[in-house]
Amino acid sequence: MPRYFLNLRDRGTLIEDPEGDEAQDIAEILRIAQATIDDIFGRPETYGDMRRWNRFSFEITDEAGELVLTVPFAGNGNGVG
Amino acid sequence: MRPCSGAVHYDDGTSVIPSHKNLRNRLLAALTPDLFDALCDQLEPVPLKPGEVLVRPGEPIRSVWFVESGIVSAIANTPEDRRIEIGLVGNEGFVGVPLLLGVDRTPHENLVQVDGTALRLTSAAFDEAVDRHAALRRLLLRYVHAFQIQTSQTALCNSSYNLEERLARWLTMCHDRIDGDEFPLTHEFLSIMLGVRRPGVTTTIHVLEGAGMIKARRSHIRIVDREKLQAAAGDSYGVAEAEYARIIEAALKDSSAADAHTGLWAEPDAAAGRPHIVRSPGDIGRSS
Repeated sequence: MPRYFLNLRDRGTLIEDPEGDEAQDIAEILRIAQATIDDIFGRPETYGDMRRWNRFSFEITDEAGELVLTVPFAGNGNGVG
Repeated sequence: MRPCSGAVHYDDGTSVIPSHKNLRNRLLAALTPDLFDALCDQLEPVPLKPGEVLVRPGEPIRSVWFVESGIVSAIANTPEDRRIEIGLVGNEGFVGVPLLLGVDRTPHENLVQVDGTALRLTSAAFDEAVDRHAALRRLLLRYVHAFQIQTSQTALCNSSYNLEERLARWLTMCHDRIDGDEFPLTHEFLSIMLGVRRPGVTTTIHVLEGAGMIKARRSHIRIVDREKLQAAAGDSYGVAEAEYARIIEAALKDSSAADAHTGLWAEPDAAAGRPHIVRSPGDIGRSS
């Protein structure tokens, strides 16, 4: 199964995902990214400053390092953003 | 003083025959030499390999492990395979607590997280030893109390502290239990242990790294500034560590200072007339 990397973009900074997730295809990695965003927005007491998370986006890359998808946090959580 | 039956091979290539003098496990080291000698022949040096499961949920616990080096996680699971780490065991403790409490299995799991070595005792030999030696039982029960405080603090942290504080606490606790400043760690493992999504771990490590507390590279974490890291953990760190120091290490010192003839962890008869061996206080709670 291919591996995709959920790198995090915070304005000028890219926080690289060194490990990645296995997923069937882009649709599945998108579901994983959205589930992650839901979990983060759903538990502010755990994940901390939501204003910071709200300006993040996932820049999802494949094993070759190619950008395959950008998923902004804002607007992609359950009823948040 | 008799040595134990086998040699322990350490990561740095050295191997030693365990004796009371070179013990790394702080509970065994807290026993009087006579009491340790009584156990020694039964203790089997074993390696602890990363990912090795020492205690499986619901299965009979066949041994106890006095950890000499490395780190073992205590993990709570649900049938749907949700897992979270509830505690850490290093050379300050032992794995197989239920046996001491008269219980032969547990819903929890013990998994080796950082490789190391342990001195293993079969459950039968352990039962016999704690029945025969009240001093051993008393010492280990004190450790059970300390471990219970640690798991309770983990529960408190999980509900009342944010990920940055929890991760700083966790790294500080690992640092207490390893030799040196670096240990293997994946974000995936840590995210499961802390019950959060991996990107939460990745960003938090990035924050701690940016603040100069740690350095992350190739599935390893190096503690760069212990004092700052411990400060980042805030109150989430320290209560359990202070309790361990109070009831195990300080109690040991007090007892030897106050009355060398009835040392806390000595057999009443065997201790008569012998000085108490006190090991220098360990690293737990170190602040610099």
